[in-house]
Amino acid sequence: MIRKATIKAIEYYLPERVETNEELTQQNPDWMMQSIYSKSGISARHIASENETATDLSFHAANTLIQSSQIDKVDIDFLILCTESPDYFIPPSSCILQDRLGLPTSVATLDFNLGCSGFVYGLAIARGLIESGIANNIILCNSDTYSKFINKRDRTVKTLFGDGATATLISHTHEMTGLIQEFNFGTDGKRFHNLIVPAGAFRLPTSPETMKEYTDESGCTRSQNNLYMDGTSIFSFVISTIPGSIKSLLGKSNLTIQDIDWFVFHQASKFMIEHLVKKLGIDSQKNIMFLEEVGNTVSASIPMVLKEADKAGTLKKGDKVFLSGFGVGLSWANCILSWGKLL
Amino acid sequence: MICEALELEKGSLTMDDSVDTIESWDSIGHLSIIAVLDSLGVNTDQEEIQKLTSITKLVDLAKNKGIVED
Repeated sequence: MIRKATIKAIEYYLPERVETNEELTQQNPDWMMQSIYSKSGISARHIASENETATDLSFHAANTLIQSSQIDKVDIDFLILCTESPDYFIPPSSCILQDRLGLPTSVATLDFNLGCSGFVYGLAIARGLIESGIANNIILCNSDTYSKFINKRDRTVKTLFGDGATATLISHTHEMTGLIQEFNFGTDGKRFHNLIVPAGAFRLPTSPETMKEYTDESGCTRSQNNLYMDGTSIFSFVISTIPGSIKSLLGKSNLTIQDIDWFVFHQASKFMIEHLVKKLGIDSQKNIMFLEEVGNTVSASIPMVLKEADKAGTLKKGDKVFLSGFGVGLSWANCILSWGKLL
Repeated sequence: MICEALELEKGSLTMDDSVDTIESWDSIGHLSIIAVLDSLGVNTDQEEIQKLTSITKLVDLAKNKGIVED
């Protein structure tokens, strides 16, 4: 019998502390937060505490997922963690998560390091493992704590990125609805420097030099150990590359824009998403967003939208949902889902 | 269209204006300009984007891309 993969459940976890735009205005009166909000659509972000890591966030999300889906832990045979903010360089954080979740030692675990394209890549990995018969029930965690990379005086990223984690249960099914369908991907490593933490790994180890802060001509302060984003280059890349990749996947699937019921883009900013929607000729009613109160949560952003939309009754069984993740790398991935309704 | 992108009154920009003379032409304003160029079918690479710091340079780009006439 043909094995297919379906998304059965999604849960997410946000750190307790909320940082509002009002708070940022008080700390930085020159930041023109109203103008930033009008473009970003972000009014608040959740920020992990000092001792709270992406693995901790994943633990909470996955624990909730196991309880709410009522899946028996012995039936989980694969745990995948997508994060760019691991607990350690070595060992993989997914190994630590296996133990904390009380999963059997027979479970396979792996970390992979991707950002905003990470959920779609994770679905592709999961689908491959399931359809090949290697796994039956996979928990895919997408989790990051970008706040720990961000300099509090860097307006370009401080106002955008929030911390958070999702856990998604992907299982095998013999049904022909509610399936993870086609994908396409892309990578442009030539532009890797447009969204980067330059120092701290092996290309440029941390040193007193890399920790020195500098202020750029726009008044943003950071060190080489902090996250740097060239916003205009990233925006230009997205609006020039992503529409073509979306049309390519639709063509490969013999579908048109009009055949898709819902579009879920990586929640980078309201302005970017709305420009993509307009450029692609998408009915704006079909664009689902969940950004204002959580910010850009990197690879957790798309599954958070799916969870909220399913909870609200927006997504119905059989709906064609188009996912598009793009960003750091530079990396992008699109996929088409036939929605099956979450547990 | 550039006036709208920079939230300025229509017709208020002159050929002498640049990032140095227009307060709203910051990184956010620049995103709006890139969006306007994109809507006109003008693709700009990273190097070109960095250089688009004045109305004169924008007009020159538009002429080079055939969006406006000489």
